[in-house]
Amino acid sequence: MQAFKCGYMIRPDGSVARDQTILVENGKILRLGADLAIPADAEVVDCRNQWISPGLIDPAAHLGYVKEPTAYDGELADCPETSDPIMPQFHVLEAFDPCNPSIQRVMQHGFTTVFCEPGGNGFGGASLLAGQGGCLKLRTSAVADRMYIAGTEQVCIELGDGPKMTFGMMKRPPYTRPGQLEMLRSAFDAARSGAQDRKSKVLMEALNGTKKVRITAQTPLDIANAIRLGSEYELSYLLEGLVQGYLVPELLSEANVPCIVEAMPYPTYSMQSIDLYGCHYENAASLEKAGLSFALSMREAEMTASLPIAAGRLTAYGLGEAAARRAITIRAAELLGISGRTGSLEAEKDADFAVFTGDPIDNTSCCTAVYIDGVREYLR
Amino acid sequence: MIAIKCGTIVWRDGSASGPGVALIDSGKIIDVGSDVPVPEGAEVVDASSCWVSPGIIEPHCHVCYDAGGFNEMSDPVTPEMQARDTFYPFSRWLPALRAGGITTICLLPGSANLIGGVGWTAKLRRGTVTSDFDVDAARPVKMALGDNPISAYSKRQGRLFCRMGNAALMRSALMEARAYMDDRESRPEMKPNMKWEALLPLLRGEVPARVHAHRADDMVMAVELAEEFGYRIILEHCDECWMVKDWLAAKKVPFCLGPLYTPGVKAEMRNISLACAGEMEEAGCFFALTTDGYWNVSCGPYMAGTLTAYGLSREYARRAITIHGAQILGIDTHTGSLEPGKDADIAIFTGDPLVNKSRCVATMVDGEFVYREEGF
Repeated sequence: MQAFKCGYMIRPDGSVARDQTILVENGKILRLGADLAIPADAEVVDCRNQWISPGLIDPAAHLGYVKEPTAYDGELADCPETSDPIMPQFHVLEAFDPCNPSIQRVMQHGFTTVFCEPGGNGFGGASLLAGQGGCLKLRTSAVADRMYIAGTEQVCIELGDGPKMTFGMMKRPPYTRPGQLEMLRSAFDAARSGAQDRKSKVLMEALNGTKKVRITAQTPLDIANAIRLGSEYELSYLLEGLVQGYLVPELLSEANVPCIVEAMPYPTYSMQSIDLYGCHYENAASLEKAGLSFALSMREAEMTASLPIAAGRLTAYGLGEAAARRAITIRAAELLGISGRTGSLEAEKDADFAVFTGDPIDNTSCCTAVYIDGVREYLR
Repeated sequence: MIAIKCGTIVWRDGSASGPGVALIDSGKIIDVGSDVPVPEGAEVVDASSCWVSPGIIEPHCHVCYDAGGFNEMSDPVTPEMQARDTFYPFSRWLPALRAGGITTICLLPGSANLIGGVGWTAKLRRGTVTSDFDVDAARPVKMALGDNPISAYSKRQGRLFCRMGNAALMRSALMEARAYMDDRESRPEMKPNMKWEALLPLLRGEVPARVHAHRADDMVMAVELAEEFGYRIILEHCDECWMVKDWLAAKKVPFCLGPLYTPGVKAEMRNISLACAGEMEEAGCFFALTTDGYWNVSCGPYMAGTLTAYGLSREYARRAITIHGAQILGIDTHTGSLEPGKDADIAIFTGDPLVNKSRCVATMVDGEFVYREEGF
């Protein structure tokens, strides 16, 4: 048994509690509170000058499939497979290289779980329906299956400029936004009419709600198209990206679907995409004001490590600090369907947490230790 | 006359203290200090709850072009290109930069070419024609070694496949330029060649070369070429600086460090380290920080602050985004710090500019507000 004495602890609601103790046994949080009796046999870990945060979660990471060291243009990436714009049978587990050094880098910034999303890697290369993503715990392993959380698949679609650029450059359809929708409708219709190929089987699971769908959309037009598609096929879906969401807050609150907001604007080279041109720091705050509860993400492989700082940056432009902390922990876990086991520091949950020198969303803090299922994976 | 009541003032040495007052008249800083009285009749700007910093200087960026970019990839040697010619005064990025406290930028041609062209320093005044943004500053020659020229030319044009090719073609261009310079001196009537003409200020020592070099061996190659041909050099990016720390400190080569938060996007960046800025400070090196940015130049201050979590001192970080950039650009007699007689280039933040939770609320260039948040 281990007892972590922490100076500051982030509660499930994103607020901060002083002087707490967390008891950990067999990879789970046993108990936590201010005046816990520490059993005599417990190993005490002194974090009284530090912060303990639930392990951070990026719900839309593009991690582990861009080869490192890489050359230009993501040409060594194992994802997406663009031979076909509709690849629901593509499973990210088969592209995720557990030995990729970027995984350790991300974990060492306090991340314990990511949803690894097939799709563009920030240098373009977005596909239309790139395949199924899923959740991985960033424990050290050379076998991806040992990191994978079974049953967390979501079918990932991207609308807008991303796939237009990818397929346009290859002079292959879809060339336009209506063309993108047409391709998706054809695929869903085929599945619904009973086709038994591997694609249709996965799409049928999306149609009957067994698998969630997530649709990346940045501009008002793409957001409207995503909602159109979602309601036409009665999908159980999430919206992702939403860089220009501040232009359509009422549309988003009416749709009442879970959202993952790209914590833009942020240093990245992908800003050359026109979709992302109209980004504003105030985006997240205006969506919060519209009553949306969302998770935040960084879409680029390398940038997941910077997600906490980006979340903190948004607080300078009106996002609440507690909402910012929730958006990279419990809210993300909820959208991924794993909040029963991780995403907050609560009794009986997995002992997934990170130790920081200060508030994790403050850029002058840094991560000093990471525990996943109670195992110390990193110590600075 | 404008009197800014400052909560905290960021000084030339990067320290910060307050409260104080900054007096501005006719575009210049008249006085600044803790005991400066507010003259009668002065327009008072109340920044008494804010931090008042020298305007942020971005010494290496590729912002404010509109379409087409900043790499003239018709040939790997294009010294005759001018970054000024790709600047778009109506770029939507310009307001974003001003709103981030940026007052001066240096646009450089990209790094696809071994010799990409000539850089241009601009002040982010309100303006509609390019000359509104001009600054009296040396125009450095942008060069690039390493992966970029190779990836730009090997596949597309079937030339430049490795670093040997980079070095040989660079040396051959410099030899031609030197021969041209000698010819020109002995035969002033000869027909001018635009390409080599553009390298004369470099070879005469009037402007420095600014050389893209991520890897340590590229940094060494860049310095060796500069020594061979006798020009001044500033290194750019320098991800592997920490691997040749002693060499770099002994050479006393100034450099622009960064961006340090995009590891792994290409092979030559694989040894990037957030801790290297602190290590280089400790080794006594002189560097400015760069975002190498597009619109995201405005993130420079807090990205510098992030490095303080990994060993860089706050004082050095503040200098690295202000006065050090001015020194790199050769404009430190006019800007880069809050001192009497200097241009009134000022950025006002809700807190320490280095902290991500601080926000820029007003930006002044040459004594005029180019950005002022509603309600400030």
